[in-house]
Amino acid sequence: MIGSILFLIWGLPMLAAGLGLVLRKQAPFISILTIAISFILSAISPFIVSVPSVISYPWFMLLGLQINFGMLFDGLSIVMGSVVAFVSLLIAIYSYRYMYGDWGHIRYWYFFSFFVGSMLLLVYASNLIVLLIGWEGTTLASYALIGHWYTDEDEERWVGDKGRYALGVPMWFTPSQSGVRAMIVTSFGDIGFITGIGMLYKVSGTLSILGIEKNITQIITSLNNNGLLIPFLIAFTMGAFAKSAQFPFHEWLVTAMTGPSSISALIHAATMVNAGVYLLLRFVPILLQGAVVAGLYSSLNIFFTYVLVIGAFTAFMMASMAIASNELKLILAYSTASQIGYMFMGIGAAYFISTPSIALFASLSHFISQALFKAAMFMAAGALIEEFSSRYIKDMAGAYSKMKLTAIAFLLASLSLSGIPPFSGFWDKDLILESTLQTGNVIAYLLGVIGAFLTAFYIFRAFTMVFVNKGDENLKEKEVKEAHPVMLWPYFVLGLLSLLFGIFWYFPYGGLSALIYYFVYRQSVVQLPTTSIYFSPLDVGISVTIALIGLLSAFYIYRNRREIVLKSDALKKLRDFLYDRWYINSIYYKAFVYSLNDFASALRKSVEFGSFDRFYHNLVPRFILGTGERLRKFQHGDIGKYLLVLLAGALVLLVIGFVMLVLMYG
Amino acid sequence: MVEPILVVFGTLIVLSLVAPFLSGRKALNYCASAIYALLLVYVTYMEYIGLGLGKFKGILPGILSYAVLTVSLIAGVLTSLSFSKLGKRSGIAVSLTSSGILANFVLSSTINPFYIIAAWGLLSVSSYGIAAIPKDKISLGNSLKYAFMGGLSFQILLLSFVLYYVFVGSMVGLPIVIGAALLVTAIGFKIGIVPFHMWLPDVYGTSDPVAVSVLSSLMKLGPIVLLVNLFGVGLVFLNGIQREVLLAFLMILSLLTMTWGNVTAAVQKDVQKMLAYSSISHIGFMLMAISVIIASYMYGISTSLAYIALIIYLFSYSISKAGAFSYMKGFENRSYDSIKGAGRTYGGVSGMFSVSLLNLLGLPPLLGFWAKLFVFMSAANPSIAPFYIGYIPWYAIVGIINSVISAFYYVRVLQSLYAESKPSATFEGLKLTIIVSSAILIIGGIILPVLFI
Repeated sequence: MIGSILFLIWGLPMLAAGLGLVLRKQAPFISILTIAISFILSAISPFIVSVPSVISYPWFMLLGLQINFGMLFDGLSIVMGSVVAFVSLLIAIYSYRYMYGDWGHIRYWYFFSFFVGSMLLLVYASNLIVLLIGWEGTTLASYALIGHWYTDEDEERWVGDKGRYALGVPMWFTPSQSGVRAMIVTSFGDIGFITGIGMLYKVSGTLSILGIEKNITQIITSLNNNGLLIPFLIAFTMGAFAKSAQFPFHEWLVTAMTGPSSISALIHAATMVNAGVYLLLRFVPILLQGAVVAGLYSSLNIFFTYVLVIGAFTAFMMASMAIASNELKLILAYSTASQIGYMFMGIGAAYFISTPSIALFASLSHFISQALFKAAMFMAAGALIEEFSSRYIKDMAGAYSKMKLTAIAFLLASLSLSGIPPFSGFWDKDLILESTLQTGNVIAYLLGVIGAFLTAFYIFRAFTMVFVNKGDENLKEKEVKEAHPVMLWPYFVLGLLSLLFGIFWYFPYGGLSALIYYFVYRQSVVQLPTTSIYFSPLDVGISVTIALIGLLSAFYIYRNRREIVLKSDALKKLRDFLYDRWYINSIYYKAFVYSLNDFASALRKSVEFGSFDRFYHNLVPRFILGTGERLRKFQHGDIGKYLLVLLAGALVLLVIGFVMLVLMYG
Repeated sequence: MVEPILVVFGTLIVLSLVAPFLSGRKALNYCASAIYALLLVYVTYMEYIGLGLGKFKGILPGILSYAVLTVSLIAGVLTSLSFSKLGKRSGIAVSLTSSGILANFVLSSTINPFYIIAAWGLLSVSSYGIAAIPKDKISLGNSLKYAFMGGLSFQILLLSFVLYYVFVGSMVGLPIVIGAALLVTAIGFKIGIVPFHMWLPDVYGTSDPVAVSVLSSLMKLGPIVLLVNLFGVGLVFLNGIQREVLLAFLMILSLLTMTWGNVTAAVQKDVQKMLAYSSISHIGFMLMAISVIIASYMYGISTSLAYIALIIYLFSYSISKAGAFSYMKGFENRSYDSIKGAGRTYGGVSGMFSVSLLNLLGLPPLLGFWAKLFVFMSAANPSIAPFYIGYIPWYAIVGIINSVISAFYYVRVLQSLYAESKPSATFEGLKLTIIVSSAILIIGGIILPVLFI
């Protein structure tokens, strides 16, 4: 079967991970080459297999359930997979130079390839078991890569200001700490996800995506009859919320900035955080269609309101934190969580509008735009941080004079992020906001609009401080120069692409948007009704005005200023509140981390050391050695005594036998 | 077509007759090894096409005798690889090993007293001979001690047969109980059940390790299976209470043996002696499997899991002991202190030795893990009442605790092996035994679970 060749899409990067360990010096090239092949295979897969189709092989039996190892090719997975592979490819090329000569670069390439392979496995998985394997693979790889510089020596890699406390909780994070934070938080969400998979299996007896699609009516009905529909949905999507860093799981993403910048780009643009979006985009259409057939559409209201509001709230909250932050990568990290919030908004809004596919497509398109501009920004940020040896934006002033191409790439990406037409970020964000407005949920819409304003503001605050402002005298002495071409071109291309993607995105009766939209929702597992994409002039006007106000106000406030000195106490407090991430981190530490820690150490002291340790490592060995020494005295080499023992043993056996006989015969 | 049994007997007998004349030839031990390996292939093939060794088996389940023949041949292959260490007497060693394999096979295939007596004698003579081969003072002394004690146990065996013939079928319980006790004593001596084990630490702990590798891996297999066969068939003649008595014997002895062996192994200062005592404790685990077999017969439940457990255990034990004792031959002085650092200086061989030790400990994915797992699993069968107190499978739990204790002394060896020091040792002529045995343990451990899926 020729389709089997497509297993290479995720197989090759996985293979590259292993090969890299052996060939060491060639590791980067193998990685880049295999990811390139993965991208090509992904992109041409519609010509190799019919869409939608499943290619699978029997794998194993579990509790009477046949599990297949298979790949699902439909519009959604092909678009998603191609974008993932393409952006990963550019990041891999960038990494070749960026990680050149790093002391852990073999490990870096191993996990890089493994990361991309896991993400592609996840995207193309044909059932939930395979999906879960990819899902956990990304968790593992993100842990290793966020903590890549695990010795914690270089303060340039940390996140937060050393010595800063919020509510008595330290607000600086080292790479090793951040890696563990990422793993714990996302795995916590997986508890819900795995529980959801278990419930799904219990109800439907199948785990394949096609099987779920077929049985969805029965699944929804029987869950609803047991009053479990909403708990199930919330549990099942908990993993997605954690992975996509939505409130209340957003903390891990912020501190994940301790990893190499290329990894930040990979996590934020191509892999990891988008896995949650993918999971929802994959299952929401199935859910919506099943609910219509089952006649239970109205009972999903709570769930989708929840997705919509959490998304909108995260979009607003993270944007508000970003306007106070001083670290370039941290601003971008807030921005990612905020943009993913918009994607969740779109998914939540889909339920309420007449043609859900429009809102879902807006989210998918926003994922693509985000992948393009965010990867560009992170890679540019990596170059800037390396050149200026600082992660603070105030230290990078005057970068334009030395790094013109980087500035242009960053500007293109920033315009897309801010939502200025005709950049791609504009179209899909506007489509999401329009869909949200149609839901009638005013709070979510307002949060979204304020978020859009803040987005333009924070990114142009950073842009102004880094590229517009003039540098101080020290800059001339510093050896700042344009990034190496191998690093520069990947993000320059991505910056250009976010412009081109936007220009070709929308024409009233066609454009890229229509192409992707129809491909995804007409050639999919679930074929949702589609309609033509339409923008109302009023909404466009509002969006553009708001973005421009944000952009220009940031420009005027921060132009030629290194810092804003706040006079009023209330404003200072507000800034501290935003700077310390709404004190959410501190609250978590006080509520969970410290109390659990105290509990654990009390347990360790009393139970572990007091009981187990004393018993196993003290009492038992002493007893055994003591007994052994006593028994050893029997072994003295005297054959007469040996005989005596042998006969005594036989005698004892006889006595035992005799006693038993007597006892039993009475 | 020649009857396969004749081929096996003929080859072994011819080998044991010819080998002494080729003594000291370098190629001899490799040739012997190759012959055993060929026999192994032949027997397996014959069994596979269904022409096996059936004519000899009579009423017994053939799987055990086939297993014993296979394990003996593998042990023969492994141990003869290092016979060049015995110098001029290597031919005699090959001859005695062949006789040993033959005796093992016969012992495991029959319950006819005449066959048993003949094979018992052959096995004893081979064992004493091999123990004496190095011809130094200690080995000769040990061999003499072994022979003397062996003679006594032979008499006890004969006595039990006499009792059997005099009182067979009698409903008077006492003579049968006496007979059973005597039988256990005699066989217990041969395989080292506590308290009939006293000769074993001396012989295994101080004799030449190459000779010990044959003794420990080969010379116990037949008697172990004989115990199963005699008691399995003997159950027919026993009434309920006598059966309970028999099971009680086995359970008490198995617990006593594994615990005693473990506890004394833990306090040894010499690695070879530690291995000797650990042999005793492993016999305890095998006795556990045997008592499960007997109990399964008594309670009328399927015996297959217990049989499989015993067979895997025989394989794992025999192969790892062959490798471990051969490794000991590399050292002049075998105390924990004098092997310090061998893992660093002689990395490959010591790594393989570590595999043998970890196999004895029962670490996954090695063969020994599955052996122990199967033994404990079969002992935790809820249909067997005596193994349970309430809902607690105490018998299996005691076994597991013993297995945990054994980690103490195996890991201590590893600790010495990889300490900072420079010992002097030479593994010339021993490497093959050590490496092949460990390789079988690793591969077997990986393949075995696949076979049962």
